Amino acid sequence: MTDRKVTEMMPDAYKWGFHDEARYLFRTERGLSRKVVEEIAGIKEEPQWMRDMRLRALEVFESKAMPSWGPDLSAINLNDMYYYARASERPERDWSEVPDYIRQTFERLGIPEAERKFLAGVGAQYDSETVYHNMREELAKQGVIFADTDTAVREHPDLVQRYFGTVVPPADNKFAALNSAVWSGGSFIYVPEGVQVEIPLQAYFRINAENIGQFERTLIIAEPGSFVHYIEGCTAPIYTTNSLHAAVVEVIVKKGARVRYSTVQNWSTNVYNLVTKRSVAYEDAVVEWVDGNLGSKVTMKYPAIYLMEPGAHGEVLSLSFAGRGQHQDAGAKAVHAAPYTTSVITSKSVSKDGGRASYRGLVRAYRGAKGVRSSVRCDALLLDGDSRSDTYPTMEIDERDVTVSHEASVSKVSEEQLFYLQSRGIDEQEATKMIVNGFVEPIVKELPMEYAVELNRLIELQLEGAIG
Amino acid sequence: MMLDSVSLRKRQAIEELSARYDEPIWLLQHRLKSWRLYEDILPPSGKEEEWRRTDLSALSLEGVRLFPGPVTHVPAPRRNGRDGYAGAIVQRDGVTLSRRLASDLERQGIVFSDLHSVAREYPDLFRTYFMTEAVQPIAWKFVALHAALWRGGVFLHVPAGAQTTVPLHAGVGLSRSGGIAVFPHTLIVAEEGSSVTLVEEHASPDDDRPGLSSGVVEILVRDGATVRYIGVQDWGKNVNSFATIRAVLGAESQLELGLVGSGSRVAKDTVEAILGAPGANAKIVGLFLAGGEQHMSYATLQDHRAANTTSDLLFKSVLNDSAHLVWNGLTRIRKGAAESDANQSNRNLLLGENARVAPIPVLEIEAHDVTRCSHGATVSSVDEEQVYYMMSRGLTRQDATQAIVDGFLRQGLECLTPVRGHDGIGRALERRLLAKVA
Repeated sequence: MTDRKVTEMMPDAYKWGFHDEARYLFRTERGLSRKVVEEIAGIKEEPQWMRDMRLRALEVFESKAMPSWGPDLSAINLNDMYYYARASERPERDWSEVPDYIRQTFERLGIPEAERKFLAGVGAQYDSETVYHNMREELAKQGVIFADTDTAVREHPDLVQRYFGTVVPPADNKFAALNSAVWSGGSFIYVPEGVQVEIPLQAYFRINAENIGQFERTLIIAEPGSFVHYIEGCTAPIYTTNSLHAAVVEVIVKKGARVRYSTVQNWSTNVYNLVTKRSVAYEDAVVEWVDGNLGSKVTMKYPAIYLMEPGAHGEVLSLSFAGRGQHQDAGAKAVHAAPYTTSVITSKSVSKDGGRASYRGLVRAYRGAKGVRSSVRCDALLLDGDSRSDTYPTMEIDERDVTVSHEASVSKVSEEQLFYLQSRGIDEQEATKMIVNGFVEPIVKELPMEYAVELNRLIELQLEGAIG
Repeated sequence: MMLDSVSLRKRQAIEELSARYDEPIWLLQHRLKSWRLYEDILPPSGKEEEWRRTDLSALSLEGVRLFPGPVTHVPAPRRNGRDGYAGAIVQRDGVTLSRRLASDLERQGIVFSDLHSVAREYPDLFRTYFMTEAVQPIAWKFVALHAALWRGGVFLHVPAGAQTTVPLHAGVGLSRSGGIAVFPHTLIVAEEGSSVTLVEEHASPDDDRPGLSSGVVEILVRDGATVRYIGVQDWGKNVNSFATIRAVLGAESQLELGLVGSGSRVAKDTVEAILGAPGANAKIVGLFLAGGEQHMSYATLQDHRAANTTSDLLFKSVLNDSAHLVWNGLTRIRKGAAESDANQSNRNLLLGENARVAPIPVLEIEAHDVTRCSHGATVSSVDEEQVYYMMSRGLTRQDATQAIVDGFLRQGLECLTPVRGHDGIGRALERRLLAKVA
């Protein structure tokens, strides 16, 4: 692949060529209203409590102003959007309509043909049903429930009703309210007491068109002593013409349980990705968020851990890559509401070609949360003079008996490093790649191998674009 | 009609104040214009990041007299020339009680005086520098109020090339702090290649009635100049104090800014270093000791606007009882500020069971060619293991705690020793600070 081709893969080289013809059969009207929300609940034949929650959330959404403290969201036109279109009636796109840069990235990453088509919104189904069924049987024997959230509302109404909206209530923020009003799709996972789910659960395995939705809603419940690793999204670019992705993820980790939630987000660069992710960890529970942000136009995402009982531990590993026209506003929150709870937050960001990467975080220790230990480490790498990096950490410490630390540094790829590598016969592009790979390595190594490999390839690809 | 009569009364009061100091008409106009600004500028709503954690009732002027009558003269405290300073000003209630300046400094053309005298004797200097460059009345509501009502004030002008090795001292006090408002103003101008050190202390007795201080410190450090400024804030326990401290740095200039805060009920300061020209270097050290229900809030800015600029900030706090400290620290590296080096460190030691702290260090980096930009913040309590160790060596718990606090503060205190060989000042300060913690 020549450099010229790689450059073409950069988002700005492509002119969006989609025409959104009215081929939807069941689609709500443009904009958001009580009628639209009721229609969604109606199509899904939802129980009354869910319908009521949606309507309450709509009121909250309408009463809240757009957040003004972060990235510029003024280009989002909430009235000009479709909030629901039934999956099976989504338009069949033609493969030729998929932007070059996305197709070529698939190729580079070695994504299988069928999967590519699904990710590009071309094929309606990705043929993983057999694999999925086998796995589901295995899980079912252990009492694990792994379903899309719509199905869970129908098949496990008591469980869903008990936990839905308890970690992220609709009133939490404007986009959580929006999600609560119009949500569709997402994953529901229930792991019974003591059950260790050995293989990571991936959205891949139950892939269907509902999965990669605009307003997905994910709920994970880990009963005492259980373990599960959930992987959301994928390193391959996800192409969508929807400009807003507002998801909500709720994770409940009970006594002694452990949940790891890994995300690699690579939305196409027209998407506003505004996601509320939050977990509660009870006694001796462990929550880990591994959060990679590569795609989207604007991302606002701050995975949160509420440490509710003694011994709870939370970790967030955050990686963001901001290229041309991108603003990655990512971070983490650790709220220590109980004594002897601990948290570790590690953030790495890379900005290039005028991209902007911001770390925004919060560490809070409530009074009485004795023996809390928290450490935050943020590193940022700037690859050129047009790019920008910000760090906005907040610490609110209301308890004396704590050890809290925050450290951040911003640096560039230094001349000395480059010189050293070049003197060893490595060209500048290769040297930059090596430095960046070394920089992000602590996070990448926490991902399952196939993801790590893809992520590395993806970063290389972005860097080639930057230099070539 | 009602409003008119109110502003008429204020206008008359400002005219009276201005007349008391024989001020020229342009200065009266400056005051009146600033008063109008004060009336026009909206108070903070409490939603601003900077104000979210501060009780806005501290901004109340209720029970505080903005226009105290003429002050009866109090005898100046006896101070001989052997206190280690090359010059000193003592002010109480806005009245200058004494001032002196070593003759060799006078010969170099250094002006060290109260602002009223400067307005009369050096009107050009005054008009050039007073609230024109570093801090302008429009900065925020209480700075406008300050610009309308200031009294007393300390002015230090060091001509190009003048070098001083011995520090100067300004003591600004109140005979009582309850019921009145004070507006301390300090203006330091160090012209090209000059160097100077000023130690300034603000203090007042504890008083049951609320008091208000709205101060401004302006520091202009011209090309190649060096300014060391140490400001000690020790107002009485019911004073709400607000200060805007802003330094503008020229090429290859040096600023060492030391801030010690231990007084006031609410103390809210803005501290800004503008690194506007290549090679400027700012070092900022803050030591804060609070107890009781004290609330201290600091918003700092290290603004790198030019290449090769460096800044280093260290804020340390020891918080007792229910004290609450907020630090909003912003480092900004603007486009073009290549090869800048910026650091922020914040260390907090919580002694009180109900003490709270909110460190918020923010980095905004627009230039990629930074040499280094980093920050760190820590919050911890006295390490029980260390206490246990020392107690096992025969120290009482209190002595052990004291020793730990002492060790914690020492690093900051060393930075505050204004001039090598003058550690007497540092030690006196240290004793006072440590006494406060015990």
